[in-house]
Parts: sequence; structure tokens; C-alpha cells
Amino acid sequence: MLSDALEAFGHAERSIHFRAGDYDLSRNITSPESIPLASKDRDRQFFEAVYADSDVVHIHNFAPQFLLNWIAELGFGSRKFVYQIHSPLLERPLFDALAEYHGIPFHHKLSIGHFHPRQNPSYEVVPNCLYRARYSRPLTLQLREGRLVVFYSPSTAIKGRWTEKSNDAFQNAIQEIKINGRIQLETFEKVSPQTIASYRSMADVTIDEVVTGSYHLVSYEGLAAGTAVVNGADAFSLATFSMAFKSPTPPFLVTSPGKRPALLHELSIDRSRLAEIKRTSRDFFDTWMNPDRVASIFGEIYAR
Amino acid sequence: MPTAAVICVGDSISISEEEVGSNGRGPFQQILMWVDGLDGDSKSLANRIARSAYLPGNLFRSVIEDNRQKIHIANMYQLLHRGASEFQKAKSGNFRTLIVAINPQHSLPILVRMIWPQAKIICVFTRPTALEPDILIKADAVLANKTTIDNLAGRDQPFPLMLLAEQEEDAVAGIKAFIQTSGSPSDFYFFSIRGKRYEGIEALSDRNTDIILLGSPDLFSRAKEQKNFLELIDHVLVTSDDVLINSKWLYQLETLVAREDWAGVVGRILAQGGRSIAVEA
Repeated sequence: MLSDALEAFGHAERSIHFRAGDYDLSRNITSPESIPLASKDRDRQFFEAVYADSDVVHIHNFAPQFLLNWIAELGFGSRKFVYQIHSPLLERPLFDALAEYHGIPFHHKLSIGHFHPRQNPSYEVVPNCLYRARYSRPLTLQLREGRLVVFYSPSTAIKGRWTEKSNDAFQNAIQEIKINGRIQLETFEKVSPQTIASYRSMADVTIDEVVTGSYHLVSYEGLAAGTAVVNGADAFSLATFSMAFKSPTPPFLVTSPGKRPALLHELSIDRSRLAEIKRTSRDFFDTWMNPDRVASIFGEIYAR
Repeated sequence: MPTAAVICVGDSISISEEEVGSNGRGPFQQILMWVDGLDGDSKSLANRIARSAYLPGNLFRSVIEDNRQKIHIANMYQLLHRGASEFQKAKSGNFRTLIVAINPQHSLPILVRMIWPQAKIICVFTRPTALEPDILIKADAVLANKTTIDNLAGRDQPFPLMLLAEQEEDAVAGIKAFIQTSGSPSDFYFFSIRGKRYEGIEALSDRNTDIILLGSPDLFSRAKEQKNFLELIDHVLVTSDDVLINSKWLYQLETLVAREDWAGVVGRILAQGGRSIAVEA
């Protein structure tokens, strides 16, 4: 999404996003416009053409060895190399050593502003870019009557200290919310992010299912859609969010899972408070998280 | 005497029992030894540790490197990459693992720790090492002879725990102590960096809380001015009224504690998944 935003808002004349990670190359969850790259002659020819014309090479998470070999063979030139960590899974933490082995001269090392800066404390903290040319905008912020509409969209479950996306307390809370007659809980599973993003504009509340003190992209999407965002971010996660966006503390409704049913019940009654929270969410996104501003943060880094 | 009250943070972020080992609470379930197969001292020490360091069930596994020509990061990376799916299937990465790397020749045994979030790593040296200190500080403990320790200490790097080990017995004792202090002690207290006492602190926390920050509600309000997490920790330490640390970390970060390197202590705990709460003094 960042690559698209850089070009769309004029922070790069041209930005091309290759997908060459260890995920299945057919996965394009958040970057439908990205180009899969494999160790094939035709792919190399295309990459070479793009690389020859590039000023900045931004490696996000991981680049496989074949790609690092290509880059080393083609030479680094005067390009700026930027490394950004986002999902430190499996062998990705070794990328540093691998890149060093290939001699990649990184000018900047960046960490997404969720929990990751704790593990990469010297990396510059940067925001995630939520940008989809369509579907990201709420259809309406009008006050509605009826039940409180709550969106719960459990995404890929990855076990880990910071990535755990459910536990018993959370599931108990979901069950309690589900049987509350004032609340309409909408659960989305195996639905594309684009579709959920478009539907989210009909919601009042977004639940971020991360239960470990962090949050994930769904909290961004909840703010973008003008919903009240409920998550369990701890103080350092909120602080890294502010560091990334150079913003005030985001207007998340921070609670433990056990307290969420009561919070949502209160919101289902106090509609004026709900409307104010939703307005605050949307204003916060527009002011601090809009893709033009986020792309400009990266543009400034590339220029440094 | 100030009284603490909870503010602003998710008050009970839950972490399942399955997970608690990832931040240093659970006992180890297995020991993985990374042994230099060309070195007699390494193999001898590995055997000694296997006999002496008790774990229930005696779960020991070994990685023996016997071809030094192939040890460079690209080869090892490919090896690990191929093995990753097997590790996932076997859930090896989910075991609470102590990795004992004896005379490691490269960074991989240390970096593996980052792939297995529930692992801790001790590096043991029976001879001088050529590994750079900025690699070694990623280990949880370094056991070595006086010359090596003095050399590393002189590099002014934030080593969490450096233990003197002139003889095999010293190394075994150090490893056993590390194992014994890695569990979840029933007795704990909160160690205050500033040495003050605050009424009610214990009531605000439980054994699973690792760090308590005391300060005004705007403790983090200038976060947007910081560029990286090191700067954030420094800022929080300067502006908070006190920072309290669960005593269970004191041994494992003893070298940092002795140096009063509180930024190093807090950074280490947070990097290892420590839970924090912020309270208003």
C-alpha cells in the first residue's frame, strides 16, 4: 500500500512493489498491485530493467537470497537502500546478517511502530500506510438507530508473544457480546481485506483481536472507517504509534478483553458519546494517518 | 509516601500460560547444545553439561558443527530456511529452550534465539573468541575466563550477564544457576530503581508483571518527538518518578543491574516480551 501511495501522492515519480518473500507468491492480501518475483530468467530481466532506473531500494521484511545475489551482482551504485522490519517471523531476524554477507549498504533501518521497536530498538520507527484507492472511506457517519454494529474480523493467527490473536478471556468476551440484544456482532472470516474495508463503513465499533498488548492493521482500518476502535494496546505500543506517525496518542478505547462487553453495552446506550468517538477516530485518521502524510514521512527518509 | 493508582494502560493484558515462557517465566523444557565438532574442549564440556545440568526428562538435543568450511551465514541461512518448516511442524520453536553455544564460531546460534521466541542462549568460551561484541550482546549470558570477560567488559557493551568460568565446573555451575532462576519464582518483589517505596504497588501487579512505571499521565506524551525505542526508554527513565522491576529479572540481568544500566535493563526486559503497566504516582 505504501508503494501505491508514494506514487499516487507524488512522493515518488515511479514506485514498483515486488513480492518475493517467503509467503506464497500468490498471496497479495494488502498489496494487490505488487508483482511476484521468482528466481527465473524472465523475472530477472524485468527486475534488472526496474533496478537500473531506481534511486531507492526499500526492502520490507525480507528478500530471498536469489534477489540479494542479483542486487550484489548488479552493483549498488548510488542508490539508497532502506530496510524495514514488520513481521519478524521464522528466519527473517537473520536478514541483517544475510544482507551484511551480501554487502548491502543500508542507509536507513526502519521498524514499523507496533511492538517491533522493542526488538529493534535502534531502528527508526515508522508508520504503516493504509491506502487503498477504493473502499477505505466510510460511506456515512450519520447517527443510526438500532443495535450497535460491532465488527470482528479475526485474521491470520500467528502464535507468538506479540501476535497472539485470541485467548480464552477474549473468546468469553466475544460470546458475551454476541448474546447482548443491544449489539449486532458481525464476524468476518475468510473475507478479503478489501471487502471488509468496504463493509466496515457500516460499523460503529471495530474490535482488534490482538490480546498481547499490541494491535494490528485492523485498528488503523477502524479509525479510517470512522468507528470506535477497541484494542488492548499497552503504554509502549501507544507510544510507538505516536513515534511512527509523529502524532498525539491515538484515540483507541483501550481495555482488557474482560471489560469489553460492558464497554460496548455502554456505547450501545450512550449514542452521543459513540458519535463523538467515531468523529474523533475519523478526524484522527484524516489529520495524522492519511496516506499522503504517511507517504511524505517515507519520502523525507528517502531524501535524507 | 506516594500512593499509586492505575491509569491509562490496558489493565490486565492476558497472556496465556502457554506463552509465559517467552518472557522468561517458565522453566526450560529442553537444552539445545550447539557444539563446535572440531574442538575437543567443546565436546568435553558439552558432555559434562549433559551429565550435570538437570532438567526433568533430561531433554538434550545437539547441533554439532563438524565442517567449519561451510559455516558462513548464507549456507547456515539456507540450512535454517529448509529446516524452518520442520521446526514449525515439530513445534520446536514453541519449546522453552535453553541454547548453550560452546565456542560459537559465528552468529547463527545467537540469532536463532530471535527465531525461537521462547529460547534463551548462553555462550560459553573456553578460549578467546573472535566474535564481535555487538553480536555477543544478543546472547542472554556469556561464560568465559577472566581475560575474555575483561576484554568484553572493556568494550562498554550492555551485556546482560557475564559470568567467570575458568574451569568446566564454573561453566556447569553458571548454567545450572541460569536454569534455576529461569522458572517462575513464588517469591518476588518489585525492585525500585530510585529506591523509593510506594504504598499499594504490590496490589497493582501480579507475578506476571515485569515492569511498573510510575509517573504523571503524560509520561509518554512526548513520544512523538523520539525517533527510536532507545530514545523512548531514555526519556521514560528520565521523566518517570520511579521504575520498578520484578525481582525475577535481577539475576539474569545482573551485570546490567550492577552497572546501574537501567536503560539496558528495561530494554532487555521489553525486548523479551516483558509486560509493563504505567501508574500515576
